[in-house]
Amino acid sequence: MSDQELQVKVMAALKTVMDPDLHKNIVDLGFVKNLNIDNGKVRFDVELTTPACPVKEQLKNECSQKVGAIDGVSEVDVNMTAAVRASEHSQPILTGVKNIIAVASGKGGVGKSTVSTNLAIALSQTGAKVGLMDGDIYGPSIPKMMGIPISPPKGAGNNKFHPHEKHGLKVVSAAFLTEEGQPLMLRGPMLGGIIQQFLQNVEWGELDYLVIDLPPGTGDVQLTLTQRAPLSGGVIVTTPQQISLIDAEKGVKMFQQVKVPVLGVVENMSYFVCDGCDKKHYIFASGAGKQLADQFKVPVLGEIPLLPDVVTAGDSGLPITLSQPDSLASQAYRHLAGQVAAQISINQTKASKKVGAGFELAWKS
Amino acid sequence: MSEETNEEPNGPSPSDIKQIDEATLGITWTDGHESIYHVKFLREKCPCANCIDEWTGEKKIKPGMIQDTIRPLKLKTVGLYAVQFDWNDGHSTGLYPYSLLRSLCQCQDCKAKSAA
Repeated sequence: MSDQELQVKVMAALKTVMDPDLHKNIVDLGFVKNLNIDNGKVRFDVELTTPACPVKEQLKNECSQKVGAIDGVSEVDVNMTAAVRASEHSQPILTGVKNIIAVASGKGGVGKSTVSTNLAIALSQTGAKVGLMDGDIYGPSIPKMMGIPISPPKGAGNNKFHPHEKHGLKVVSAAFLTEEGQPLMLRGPMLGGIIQQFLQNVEWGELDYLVIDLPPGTGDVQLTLTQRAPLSGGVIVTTPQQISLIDAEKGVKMFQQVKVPVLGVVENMSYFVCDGCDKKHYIFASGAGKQLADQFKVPVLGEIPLLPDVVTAGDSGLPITLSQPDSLASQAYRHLAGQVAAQISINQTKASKKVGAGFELAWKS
Repeated sequence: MSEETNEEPNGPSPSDIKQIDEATLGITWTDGHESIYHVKFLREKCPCANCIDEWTGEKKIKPGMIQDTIRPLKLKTVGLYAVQFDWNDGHSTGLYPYSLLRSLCQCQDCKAKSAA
């Protein structure tokens, strides 16, 4: 069989490989690139929409099996790559940032910062370029969790400044704007001003994902962000108790009112695994995350176990996803990162044509 | 309302915003509906805290207060959920959420519905 005939058969075989999240075959999705056939040796790239794709291995195996089964194919070499697609936005700020993920909860103390930090690291561990913005102006905790000493950010000229860099992430926090341990005492309108600076005056460079750790509630910071930043989606963090649902619901409704897609719900401190047995102990009752997700018809993106090591790791400046990549919590975070990235890709493929953020119309009289 | 809006929890978004004539704005929505608005009517419905008292809900814009010559100078989207107008009377503080704009639609069908 000639290589040309083979090419037709290979493409036909690849057309039967479906992306389980996007519900289309990988050829129509434009994932198959650089197909090269030489004397029965088949090589091609499969370019996914995110390096955090949870079904990467599954797709790769399916491709090699189906192509390998074609008569005349002697060798298959599938190269999995990723090019993160940008969510639609034309706002002149954050132009190098492809996707912005806001991590929110109505309630304080559910572990938003821990979730944001480990989600950002788990995303970057897949090879994506990731930034982390500490949106909690009054109680910034990201620098401590990331182990970044408090020092003023370096100026970049033209009124801009460079983010701090640690563990492969670019990090911005209000903690860097004061002396260590000093409170930032500001009235509401100033909060919006600081967030605006984080968006406009930071040299973020090229990022696949910017994770924003929001403060609790539905106030100035949340409003400024939803008005100024083209958010790709919101992630709601809750704990298993019914009591945290009351506020988490408000978090979901806030995103809905400002039309930011809710990617899903993360249940933090979901269960406890002691060192004596492998049983999952649901010490805070269970199911609030699932209940919230069902109520608003969004997915549960992850359930993060309550482990003392997560806390120790956060306090030491080396988050659990880095210090103990094999721990149950780290596995849960990697799963979460995959789900978040997958939801963003799903939203992008089904997005209908909309007037984007940053649209302007000059009236002609 | 909430049942039919599975796709978009808070109602449809504009897929196109355009000027139809000197005093008419047109919005096409993601559900296919086409809305038209007289710009003076939109200015009269400004939802900002100067135009509707925050505490009492009293409408500060009385009939006849807005001139027939009112026009936007420019309009822009705010985030993913609202439109802000710069008016030629100097006013610009109103953010019109998409849900409000949709409920203000002046097409024949919608006018008939809201009158019923």
